[in-house]
Amino acid sequence: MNSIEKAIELHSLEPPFFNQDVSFLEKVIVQFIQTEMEKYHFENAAIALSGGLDSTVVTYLAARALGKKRIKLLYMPYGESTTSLDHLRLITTDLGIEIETYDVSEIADLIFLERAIQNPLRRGNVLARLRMVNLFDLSAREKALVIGTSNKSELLIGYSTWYGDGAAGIMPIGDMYKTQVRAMGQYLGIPKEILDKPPSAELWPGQTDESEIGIPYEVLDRILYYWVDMRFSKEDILKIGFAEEIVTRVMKMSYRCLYKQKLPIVAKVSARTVGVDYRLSKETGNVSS
Amino acid sequence: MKVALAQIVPIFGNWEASFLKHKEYVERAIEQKASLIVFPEMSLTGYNLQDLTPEMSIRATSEKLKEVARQSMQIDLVVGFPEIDDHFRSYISCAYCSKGEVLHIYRKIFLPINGMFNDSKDFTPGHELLSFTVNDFHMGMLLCRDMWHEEAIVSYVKKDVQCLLIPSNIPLRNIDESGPAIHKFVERMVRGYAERNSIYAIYVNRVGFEEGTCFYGGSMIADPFGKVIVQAPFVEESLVYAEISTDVMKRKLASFHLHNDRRDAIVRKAFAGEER
Repeated sequence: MNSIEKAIELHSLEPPFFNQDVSFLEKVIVQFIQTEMEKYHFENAAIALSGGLDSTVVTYLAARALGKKRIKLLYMPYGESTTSLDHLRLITTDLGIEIETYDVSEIADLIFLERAIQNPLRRGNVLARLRMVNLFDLSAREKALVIGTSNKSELLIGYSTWYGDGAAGIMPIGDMYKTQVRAMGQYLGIPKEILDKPPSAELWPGQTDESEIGIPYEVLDRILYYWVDMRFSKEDILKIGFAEEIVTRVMKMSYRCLYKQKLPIVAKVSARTVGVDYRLSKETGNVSS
Repeated sequence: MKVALAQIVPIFGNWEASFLKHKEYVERAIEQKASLIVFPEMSLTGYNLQDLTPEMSIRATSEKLKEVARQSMQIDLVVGFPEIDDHFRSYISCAYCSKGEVLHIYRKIFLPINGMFNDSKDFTPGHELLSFTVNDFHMGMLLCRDMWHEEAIVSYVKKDVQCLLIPSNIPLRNIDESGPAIHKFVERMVRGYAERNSIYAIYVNRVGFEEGTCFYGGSMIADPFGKVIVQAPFVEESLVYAEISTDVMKRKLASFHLHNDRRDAIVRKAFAGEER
């Protein structure tokens, strides 16, 4: 046991979600998906399934909430990714849901070439937004609500593309840290291969989230939990034993992405403003007097 | 006296649809020969109305509320709604209805505004506790956050309240190893108040979602021994029942009696000149 684990145990600081009732959490999320689908009168749900942990867990949860017939899956590879394909087959076979494939390589390469995009970050953003375009087209065709697959860890540090993979109608796992998503995956019985592989946005070959963020999710999630959920100060977090360099990086990432965590802020110049105070009853579309 | 706890999902912003649901639950409770059915806080409109508040708020004397009260010919009702007064101030209120009439209105006193809560932005706080007698029981009303405030509990105990009615809208926050973490806190309070004061405490929470916020349910009745005699499930609509009886209070008081030892003057002295 390392010193951080010792300090956590000594001060009873273990985040409750490291040992939570996942069956209850699943029930809540399933109900959430059902409620939102009903509220907005969507027939189907559209999910971009990459074969990674987050989109797999969301697909399983949505299938439980809505039944497999209402789930429209879209796989959008760029270049070669044979492991993803194998993993997709495991999921679609297990759930009995068909998946549509749209290869974004050709159009992405055209954009990369014409706009001379070499920078991996810019390339990654272009890919995420190309996928968004196609997912929303599927959504229009299938009268489907786009179900987002972002988790709390990445929302908090901004590890997603604004209006790319971050574009969605609802985010069922948006308040679950990656650690919780993994526990949910275990509970739902998703294929072991997906649970075990290192998380990757697959923006380029060999990329993994943890190498790019530079912090393992178990550490990242703990720091975020103490800071965001428990309102610990930086000093308090350092006292537990986390390296200052890492804590500073997490905080910087979080501050830098605050703009991404909201709908665009509207300049309020009237009495009732969209996104500020205006509210209409969505259940009925009208309000009784 | 048989009490029904109606743990429902109100239809947000839709009085008529929510009222239909109330009627259905009332009919079921009448079939089960319950004498009282308690609905959650804001059961007729949903909770976080924000800028819909003025439009959804009704007067306590309105035809709409009278129509609800008419459902109370065979069973007493506690329903929750946003109330508006003559000066267009809105309150989070609940109505106690019996024999087809609105008998009492209680206005929530403690309006939370911390974290996810916005009550006091849209609503005016009530300032009066409400106790009244039904059958053999002297009842005291509280709405949700009110129950956290000791002064409300102490005041009711001083008024010899025998049963606290606590319609609520408590949202889910953290989930721990046994489900909604907040429920442990609520259960300790409800059971604690009941056991310590040898009274009943009837807590009715809603279920369902509003804008991603989940209300977790777990409605319950704690008896004068602090025992939970009925508990509704988490996150599911349900109608559960339990008998409450002054005989149980009598048995409890026979073995543990604080009433004669009360020293109200101590409280008065401690807070003399410090009213807030």
